[in-house]
Amino acid sequence: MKSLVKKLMSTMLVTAMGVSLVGCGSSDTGNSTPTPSQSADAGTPATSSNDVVEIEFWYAWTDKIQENNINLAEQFNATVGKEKGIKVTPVYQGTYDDVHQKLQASFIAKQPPALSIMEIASTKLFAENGIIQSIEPFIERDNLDVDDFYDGLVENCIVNGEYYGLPYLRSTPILYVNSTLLEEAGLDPAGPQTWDELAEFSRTINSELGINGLTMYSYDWVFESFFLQHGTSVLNADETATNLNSEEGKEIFTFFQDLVNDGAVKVYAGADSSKVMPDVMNQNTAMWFSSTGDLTNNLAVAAENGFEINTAFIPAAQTYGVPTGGGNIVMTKGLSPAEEEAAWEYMKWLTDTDQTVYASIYTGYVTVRESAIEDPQIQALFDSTPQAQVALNQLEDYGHGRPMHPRYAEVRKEFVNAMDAIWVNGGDVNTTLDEIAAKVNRILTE
Amino acid sequence: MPQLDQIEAMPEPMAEPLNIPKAKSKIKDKMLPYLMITPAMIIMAVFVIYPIFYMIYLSFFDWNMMSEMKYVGTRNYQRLIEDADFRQVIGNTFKYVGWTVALSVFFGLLSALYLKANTKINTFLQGAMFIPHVVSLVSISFIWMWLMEGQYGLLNYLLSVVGIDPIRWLEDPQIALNSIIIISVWKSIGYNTIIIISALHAVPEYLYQAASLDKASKITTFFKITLPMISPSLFFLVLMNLISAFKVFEPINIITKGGPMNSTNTLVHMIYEEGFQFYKIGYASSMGVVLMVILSICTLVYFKMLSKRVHYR
Repeated sequence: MKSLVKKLMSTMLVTAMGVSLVGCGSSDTGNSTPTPSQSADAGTPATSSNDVVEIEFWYAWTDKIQENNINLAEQFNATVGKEKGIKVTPVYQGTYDDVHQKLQASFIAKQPPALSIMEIASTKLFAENGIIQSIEPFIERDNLDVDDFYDGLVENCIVNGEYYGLPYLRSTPILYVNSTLLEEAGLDPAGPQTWDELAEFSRTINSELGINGLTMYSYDWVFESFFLQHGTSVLNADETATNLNSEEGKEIFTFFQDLVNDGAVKVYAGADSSKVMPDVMNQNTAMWFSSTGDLTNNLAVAAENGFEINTAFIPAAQTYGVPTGGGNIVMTKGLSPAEEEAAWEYMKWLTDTDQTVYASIYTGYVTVRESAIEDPQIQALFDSTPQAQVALNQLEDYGHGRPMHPRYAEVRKEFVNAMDAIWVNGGDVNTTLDEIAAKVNRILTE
Repeated sequence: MPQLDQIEAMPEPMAEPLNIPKAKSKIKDKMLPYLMITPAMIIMAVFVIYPIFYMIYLSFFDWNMMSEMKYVGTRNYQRLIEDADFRQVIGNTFKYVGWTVALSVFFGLLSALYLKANTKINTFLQGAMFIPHVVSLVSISFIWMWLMEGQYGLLNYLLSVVGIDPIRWLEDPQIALNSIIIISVWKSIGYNTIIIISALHAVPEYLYQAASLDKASKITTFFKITLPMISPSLFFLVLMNLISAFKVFEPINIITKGGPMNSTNTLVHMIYEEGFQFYKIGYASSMGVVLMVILSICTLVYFKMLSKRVHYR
């Protein structure tokens, strides 16, 4: 009995020591992470060769995008980074939502990364809550040529007149057409130019070939473009009310509802986004909306299944118009001066012409700088894949920002509900839109 | 190590009951059990008890995890009452829980009665039925998503073979929640079957012999002997199923994301949405409190039943 008690007690002691050791361990890592700030405290200039400032860059998505992020960081570390004593470590964090959530958590834990990718519509939320910092002073000091970025891309970088990020991996939605099917139905393989033509094309394809003219799903991003094409926007200019139940809104919903009822257009529910691609692969649809970033993938799908594809501007109602999307690179708040310098150095380098050319060719995102268009590699790409140029042309002339209201995530969900209700489940346009618009307005002004 | 020395000197009341301990070591005796459970309690306190109180605390604030926390009193709770979406979600949750629990226990009972004899085939079937319980809900969700796909799914194909119009399993707001219920029932029947079979085997054989001497019909035997004898197990199952059903998340998040039009949104999924997608931590916490109250009631009932069960025989 005595020995049992003894054993138990010693086990507990060991456990207790283990726990305290773990405690030490965590405080250890707590000390080791901000090494750069220690070097900064010592007042060592970043150019010193033995004091390397280490910073983290959090990014989203895997596959080509991940490889691109890793490759670029390696290139930087081997060249500019080596010269200036900066080491960038790219860290994968999941989807955009995951990155945002982890950024918040790291902010609360007071261990944020120096740099992060950020979905463009969230910029304002994070800027206003003091998680990311204005880079305006750096831009002014270094005379960074921000005018070289496409206008449609910088809108979501700016909060209250100041830059909070730089465009990095950006895209726009675009219309993809199966030109083989279009020719079969006796239509122009370049695709429809206007909404009237879009309706006409869809109906002809449906009656000639018995398939969907256009397949889409309740997608808030493409939905924003429908409003831009009507010369308006999903939210009013100061983001205090929605234009959902405006004349234009009702026109948009009625237009597609008629096509859905006639069987010319198929709309899947918001949760069923994955069902569009099977329709494309099975040639069960001739047209679909998708990101410019999907071009490489779509070309591969077309080659595999033996058809040709073209890209076109999303058709114009009164005008052309698309929102931009994707991610900006942002700098967090609360860094040491040395870290800030290092982070800025990487941001600047990453969004420069050569790097945006590399990223664009590697991933399919657009080049963010207008000067990139003169790059011989980009010219070669346009020669071999003219579909890629369409995206850039659309962006140059008709690209817009996205709404940045801090509660836009909730608003988007309501938009998807409206599309699901009317296009997928045949709800009444007027009553549904009035009801959902009231809800959205409440969210916006609450 | 001073502690170790103290332990050496400690008396052993059980081995030497006549040895009257001094007052000082009496305190030690009383302290020992608490000391023993300290590691477990620390973990519980950090990961369970503290978060519960912090959640209750948060439910009185307006906070998006980044901004300053703003005290709003009971406004989050008032909003819960006014929120039509929340009412719908509570309705969905109770519908989901009610049907899932009722159907999975009912079908569990049926298959248990059918499979209770220990033949080789039955043992195999029991094992086969238990598989869904072991498979992760994520995989199950993906499989059923494909089965219930509107155009290319297997279920609609089978229906078309029989000549029935395809059903919009997951797209129609009137149907989608039922489809989720089917998936959850399918997953939990196997586990329920196994538990009920073991309960059936525990019913003493002499009761059935007595019943057959009295020429009781099979139905009478079932209702007068089998059902009362296995009722403690059934209560256990119902409550366990209730608690897990209230916490449903994976199939909703993977298959429908709460849509179409909020028709499959349940309490836990809405908490996740409000908290981690819309960053309304205070509001989500107030929903968490509601969920906790519901689950506490279930657990209390369970413990009451448990104590009754002790006096059962």
